Amino acid sequence: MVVDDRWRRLLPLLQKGDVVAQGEVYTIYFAYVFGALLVLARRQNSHAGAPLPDDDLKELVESLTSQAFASTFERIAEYDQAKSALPTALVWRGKALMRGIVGKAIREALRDQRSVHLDDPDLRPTWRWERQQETNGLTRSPEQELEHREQSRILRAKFEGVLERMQGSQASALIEVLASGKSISSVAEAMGKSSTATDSLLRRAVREFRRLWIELYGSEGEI
Amino acid sequence: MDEKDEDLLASVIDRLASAYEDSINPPPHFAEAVDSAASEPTGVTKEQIEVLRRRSISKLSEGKAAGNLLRMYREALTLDLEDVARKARWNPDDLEKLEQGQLDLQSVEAERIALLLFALGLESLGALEQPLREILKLQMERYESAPTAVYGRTRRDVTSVQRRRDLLKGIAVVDQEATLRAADIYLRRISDEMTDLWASRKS
Repeated sequence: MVVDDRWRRLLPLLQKGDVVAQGEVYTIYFAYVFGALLVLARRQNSHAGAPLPDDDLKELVESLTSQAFASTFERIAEYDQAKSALPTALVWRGKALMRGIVGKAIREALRDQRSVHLDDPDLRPTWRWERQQETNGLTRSPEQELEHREQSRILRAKFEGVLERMQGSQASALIEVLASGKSISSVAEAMGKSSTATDSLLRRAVREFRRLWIELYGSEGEI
Repeated sequence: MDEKDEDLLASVIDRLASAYEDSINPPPHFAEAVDSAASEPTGVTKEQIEVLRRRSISKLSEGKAAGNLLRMYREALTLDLEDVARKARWNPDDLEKLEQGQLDLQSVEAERIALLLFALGLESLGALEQPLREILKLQMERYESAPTAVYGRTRRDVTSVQRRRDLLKGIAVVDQEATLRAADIYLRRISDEMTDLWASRKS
């Protein structure tokens, strides 16, 4: 799907915070961003056994789309057009926010579907849960937040170093897992390949990723 | 994939997600994933998306004045009011009044507003739609029939809109539904004209 580049003309105005220009971006790209986020959210929901009805999912994605636009406009100074087209960045913001909005709704729907046992390990804070809270910024002080941002920036540079050296199809396959979820079938469907071919591609991709990471950074500690 | 590869993949993806979670810029190759998702049919009609888009966009300009938004947009483009007026075939005084929120839209054809927005390079009403609707709701008030004819004279420094409202105050009741309808028709005329203008430029 080819997305037009009318956003380039509007970018200088967005950088000035102009509301009318923001409205133009909404008008031109809303359908694209909403459609892409709805498909990604459906894949996530489907991977979890589809606990959320599609109408609820659409409502969540509507809110998610608005937040993606608002968040991107708010932080437009950080946007780098050399890294991606603006519509792609808008979908990315939505995808990043999806973890909090759609992910939470799916978890709640799943919890409501089953009976609760007091010895359910999910009811107790686990090491993984605590790390997740930390990752989501729920338990960080301002200093920790700054440190986290800096660490994330360094880690992103490292990831980019590896991904840029990988074969395009392998790097794309890894990012497709990030976009569509960890189920081989949904990645295969998204990439238009068979499950066997996708499994094999991902195996080669993850091994190559590890090899390059060690070659560039000496150890696989951070992954 | 064996278990070891699966664990490594899960770990890499978790770390990737965490590193990029707060970033405005997506990881490399994300565009391909988006393109594949965006080209899948969603089952949502164009009309439904249009409703969602309008709902979202109206939040953008909530509480903002149309004239002020237009002026800021023109200034962000570093365009002179006179240049825009000439290009749109508007009287500069009228344009200034519009930017100051003092122009009576009852005296301006919707198509002229479209011409102005087109001259500014805008493809749609977008963020201006809701603020314009708010103005139109005041300026295009439709009244249930008054019991008698109402006469009044022009007063200095009183706009035609204010004069009309003052004259009919306490005499006729505003028909909210008819007013909204009139505002929507006016806005639709602007949109339709803009669509035609862009279509004719492309052809």
